Amino acid sequence: MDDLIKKISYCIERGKVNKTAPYPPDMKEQEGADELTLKALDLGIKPFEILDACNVGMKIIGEKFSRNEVFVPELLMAAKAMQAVMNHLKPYFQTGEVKKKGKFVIGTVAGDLHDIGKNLVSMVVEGNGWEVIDLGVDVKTNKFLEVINNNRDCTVGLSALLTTTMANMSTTVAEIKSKFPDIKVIVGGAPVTQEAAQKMGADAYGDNPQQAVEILEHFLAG
Amino acid sequence: MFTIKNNGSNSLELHLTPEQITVQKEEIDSIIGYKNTEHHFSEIINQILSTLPQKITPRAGYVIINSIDYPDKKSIRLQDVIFNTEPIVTSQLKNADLMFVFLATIGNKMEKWVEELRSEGELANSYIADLIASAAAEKTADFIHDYITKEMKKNNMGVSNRYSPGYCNWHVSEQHKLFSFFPKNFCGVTLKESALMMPIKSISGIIAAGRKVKWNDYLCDTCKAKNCTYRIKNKQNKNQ
Repeated sequence: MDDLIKKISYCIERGKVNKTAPYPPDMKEQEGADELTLKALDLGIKPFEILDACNVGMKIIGEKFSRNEVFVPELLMAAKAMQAVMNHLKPYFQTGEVKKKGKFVIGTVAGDLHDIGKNLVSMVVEGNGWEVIDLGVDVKTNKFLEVINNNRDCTVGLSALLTTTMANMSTTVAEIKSKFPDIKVIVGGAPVTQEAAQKMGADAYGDNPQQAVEILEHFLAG
Repeated sequence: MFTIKNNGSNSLELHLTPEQITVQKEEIDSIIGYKNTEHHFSEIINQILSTLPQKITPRAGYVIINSIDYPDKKSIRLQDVIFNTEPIVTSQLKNADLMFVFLATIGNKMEKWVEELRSEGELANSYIADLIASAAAEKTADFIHDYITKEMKKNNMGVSNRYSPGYCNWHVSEQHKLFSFFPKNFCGVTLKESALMMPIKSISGIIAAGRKVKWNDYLCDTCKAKNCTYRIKNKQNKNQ
């Protein structure tokens, strides 16, 4: 059983979705996350153990990404493999047998239409066991406020790619903090720095998806 | 090699053939971050690159402005329109005898394909196709930039680097001012209220030309945008 769990974890790390997937080339025709998850469930392995295995795989690939050992395509393949597992685990989330670590609301700020960085953070955070509410791009402050109001236990992530939309990010942070002082806000994106994050009153600055996960875990630990 | 459509005395539009826009695998490797030319995504990148000619309809053009003024260090006036270009862009476009307000696009087939791949869950392929589409749009902008450079050389004029709203602190909303110079449906590109161009893989901006104008690298050292298209381009140029 341990071996099966390790294999699932490895499939996530390598982005091996299923047997027919040609990627990665060195794992061609091997079983992937899809088949191995079904096998694990058939053998009676608990869904939360499978989810933990996925989290380990996502953590490893996330750390490799932080160290520039792998790049966006590898991370996306890992996310795809993770999705294959999640499709099988979905019923267990609905029954409450498996629980998420918390809620993460994410969006690209108003006036900015770039979504790759935001999507990566979204997928890696979800892959690490969080419920992600992705609001998409060009998200107005009011939309964030509305969603926070309906999810008072969430943490918020704001993304921006343009230097010119950082001003909108700053406004959104200020509005969130004014209306919901207890809600933690993480900011990130190409032009954003630690210094800028502090200046706009955000609780944290995430340089990459894995760092966003670490910040969330830190908040969770209190 | 291309057809020229003259829209009037001061504007020109080029309809390019897809084969005139070439993107090399090494360029995409470099944008992604790969240092080795052989990696697990080589085959996918090559496959997408091979389909590029069927999925682009490159067009590019410009409008020439000769009424230019610099009211201060952070703005440029073209005819009766004042652009708040901010200090970096203003300094790089100074001393112009002519300004070229340009537009370049690869059409919308690539972006539709990128969206299809994404909705099918092919995230990595979608990401790579999107990068290749962006690179192709840049190559189309390079084409019109080179065309302008050659034309200006005949008149002993130099040309500047190109600058677009949204970069170097020049606010993206100023796209609306740029588009006020273009004839309707110029190059098949339209502008949405949010300043987003449709097709998305389009580039607009300004190029200065003049006897005292010279080409300079982008001033990336003064800007904090780490993943900016032009920072990446600058780095690639320096590595060549």
